[in-house]
Amino acid sequence: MIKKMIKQWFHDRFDVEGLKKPLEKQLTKPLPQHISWFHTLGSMSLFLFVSQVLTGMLLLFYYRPTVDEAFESVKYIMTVANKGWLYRQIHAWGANLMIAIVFLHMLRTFVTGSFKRPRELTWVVGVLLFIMTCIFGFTGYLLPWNQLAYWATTVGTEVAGAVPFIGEFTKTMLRGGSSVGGETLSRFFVCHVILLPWALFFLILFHLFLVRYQGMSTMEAVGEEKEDKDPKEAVPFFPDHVLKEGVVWFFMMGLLVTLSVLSPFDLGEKADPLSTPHAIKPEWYFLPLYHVLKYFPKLVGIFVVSLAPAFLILWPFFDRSKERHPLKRPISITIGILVILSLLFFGILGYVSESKQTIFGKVYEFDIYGIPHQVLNHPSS
Amino acid sequence: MQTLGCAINKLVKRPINVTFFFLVLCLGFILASGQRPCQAETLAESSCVECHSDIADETKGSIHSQQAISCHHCHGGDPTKEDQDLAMSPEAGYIGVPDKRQIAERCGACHADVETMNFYGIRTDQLARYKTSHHGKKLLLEGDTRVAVCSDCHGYHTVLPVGDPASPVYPLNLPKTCNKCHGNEKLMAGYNLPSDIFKTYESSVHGKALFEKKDLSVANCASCHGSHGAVPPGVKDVATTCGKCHVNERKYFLESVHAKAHAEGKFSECISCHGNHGVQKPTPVLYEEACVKCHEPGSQAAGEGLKIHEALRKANEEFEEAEGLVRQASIEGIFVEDESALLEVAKSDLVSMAPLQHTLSTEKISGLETNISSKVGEINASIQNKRENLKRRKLMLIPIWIFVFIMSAALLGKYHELRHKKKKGNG
Amino acid sequence: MSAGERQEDKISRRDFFGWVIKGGLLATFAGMLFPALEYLLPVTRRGPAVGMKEVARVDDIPVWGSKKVVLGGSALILIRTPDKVKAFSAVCTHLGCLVDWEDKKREIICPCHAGLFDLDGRVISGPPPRALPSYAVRVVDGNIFVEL
Repeated sequence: MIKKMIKQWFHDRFDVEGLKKPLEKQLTKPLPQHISWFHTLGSMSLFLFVSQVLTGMLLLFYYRPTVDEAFESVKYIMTVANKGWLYRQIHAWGANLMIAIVFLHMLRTFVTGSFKRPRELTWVVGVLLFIMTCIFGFTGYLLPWNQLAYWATTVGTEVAGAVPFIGEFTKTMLRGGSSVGGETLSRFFVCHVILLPWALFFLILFHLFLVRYQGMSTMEAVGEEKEDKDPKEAVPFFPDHVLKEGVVWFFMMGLLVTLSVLSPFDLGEKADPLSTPHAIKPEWYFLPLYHVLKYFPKLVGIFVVSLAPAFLILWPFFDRSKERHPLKRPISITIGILVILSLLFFGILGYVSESKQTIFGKVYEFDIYGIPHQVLNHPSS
Repeated sequence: MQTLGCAINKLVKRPINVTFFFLVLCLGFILASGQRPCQAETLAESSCVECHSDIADETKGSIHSQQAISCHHCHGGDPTKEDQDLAMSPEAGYIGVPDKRQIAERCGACHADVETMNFYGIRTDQLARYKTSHHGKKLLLEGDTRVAVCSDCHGYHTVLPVGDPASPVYPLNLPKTCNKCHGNEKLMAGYNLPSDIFKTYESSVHGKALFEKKDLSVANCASCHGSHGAVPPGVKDVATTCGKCHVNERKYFLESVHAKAHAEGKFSECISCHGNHGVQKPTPVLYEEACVKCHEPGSQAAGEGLKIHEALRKANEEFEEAEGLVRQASIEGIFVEDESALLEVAKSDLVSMAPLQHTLSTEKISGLETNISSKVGEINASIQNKRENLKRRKLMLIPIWIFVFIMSAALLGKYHELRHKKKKGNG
Repeated sequence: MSAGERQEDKISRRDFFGWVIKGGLLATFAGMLFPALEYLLPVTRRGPAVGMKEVARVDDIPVWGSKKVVLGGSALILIRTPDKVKAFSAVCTHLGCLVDWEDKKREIICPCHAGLFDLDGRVISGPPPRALPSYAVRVVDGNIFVEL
């Protein structure tokens, strides 16, 4: 009865049918045949974004972005507030997973050749989303104001300072002063909770609009796409495919809670601008770039490293072959594999550099370039 | 009158400088007694320098040259006379190199004079004390010139203030200064004194604190023996000497059963257990070693000692265990602020056990030990509770995953059902 | 078995999955909502331990009396004088015993080795190498706030 009244109320005022039709059409739009579990990576990214927004809002209730209070308030969230530890850990793990999953989503798009005409713009927006996710990680990492965060940010902004002409300006802009301090915290905070979330939100909206509007890509070569298949046989997005996405979401939820409980992030010590810890490293997702920087003189290094995102954005305009199937485009897939391997290689080198590791009972000390040197007469050997 | 005018003249000409003011006043006193003419008071104007410029250089920087105390104050003579023979004639009071007895007198002439020293803020009892010291008695009563006199410790031409780190009597240097004589085996043999005390002291808890940690407040030779009035403290005085710094230890000792034995002269407070020059950082092992020096092993008294020993050992062990637990928990990522606060209280009790044990009261000591035990128990329970909480979080994962699997199964079931229906519908 | 019966069987099966999914979603939302509400519930009157922290009431301490409180995992000693309240670390700088207030002598005394500190935390006598660290105190409406 009430339902009917509400319906009627809207019918009297809006062209409900007119609005409903395209929505329904989008919702039930059939998906191509080759849709697999890999195609849930995109909605997994979306799920994580929503999770980050929700947990982020909860954290904001207690977080205070000042030098004196940031660390203490995070500590308060982790110790005193009910379930605060859970929200902080889910937020921290969610950030790491989001970067990994957005990357995998990009990789899937690359392998299936979905970025090709007419979907170049979707790819460009996607790469921007990936870059912004990384910036999200970078700005969020500073907010607990602990030692690791403080120094990783100091080093990170220092890198920006090496850019020719605008470097010093950029560094000062990022830090809001000559060194990382209260101003930096405010800036990063505003970026992290206001600018980036909204920017990401609208970009995601645009990305999704493009995906829905142009439809999912098939594996057929560019220009040879078959016309709409029999709609009765295809899998509609709703409700069929959404059920599959649901499975993935529940798994992600379980995974986030499990990681948060079994492998929580330490808060560490409060930031101390007067004592630099040994071997400061950025978060794992910046490690490959960070390590590559070491091999070049500062300026060249910046140039080389900034080539990477540029190439990524412009990739659809370089790779213009018509084939989509990975086996039919050996060159671009080879390039892709090489890039992944080198990311792994430099990432691992970056990880072990300036540290001590025990491999097969022997202790090795890795220098700044990640080259191992065996430690003789080590007390434990 | 002329001399006073001279002093006033100087005063008016210069900005008021406190040292200078004292100097002028001091000069005024000396001059008023008619001993010295005004114009010969600075070294530069002294005729001594013409020949003894090397010594004049030596005295530069010394406290005396800064205060314009020059050659003739110690050596006599008249520096205003240009003629060498006149200046260094016995008539002018010239004495040459003063002998030890003269040194004591010469130094005392100023340093024992309240009026002279008043403005420097330096005490004037050094000579009086020296006379009571073994050094002073040997020199002044027996004429033994091998003993130490002022210059042996303070130096002569280069005398520095006691607070100057280069001074031989600066706390860090004092033990070595004493050792110049007291480490001389031949010399000490004549007095039946040991010559290895420096070595013993160096390895003692005091010596280590002084030489390794540069802790100037620590006991050096003079702290116990006195400086100018150097005598070894007698059996009864030892406690007073040690008690200057170890206030509570002394207070508690006086409550102990040994206080009576001490009063009767049968027991040397402090030293009986701790020794003197070679005193080491005490450990509970002392109860095993020191008690049996007087008490039969196995006697009731020795047993009491062992009981205290046991309580101390237990308290230490419990505290260390709790400390380790808190550290471990913080490594595990547990926040341990409350436990650290409790640990602080337990530590306070543990540290206060050290002075308290001088009462030798098993009751009091085991009282503290019980306190520590209960604090440690609280810490253990609290950390255990936090660990349990973490474990409970892990257990919660099981129902969560069961739920995830149920939901996944339902969703997939629904999915296949829909597919199945569609195919059927088509078929 | 008639077609109608099969149909019914199917509907009940579909309903079964549907109900599980609906119930599960409801449970999920409830499971997310309630901890979040619990999280937002103020746990203490004070909020995060930053800036000035309320440690005691002035009425708790008589004039020329003292009180020991725990703040940030360490003990503080509050001393009330006729016109203000002072706060020092209660941990002796010598070996770490907790100090006491001696109201007759108006001195802070460490019971372990008789270290004495004055009303400004400075060492008067005894083995402590440094003054007791002091903390800023504010008294508002009879509540004592200490800044760590």
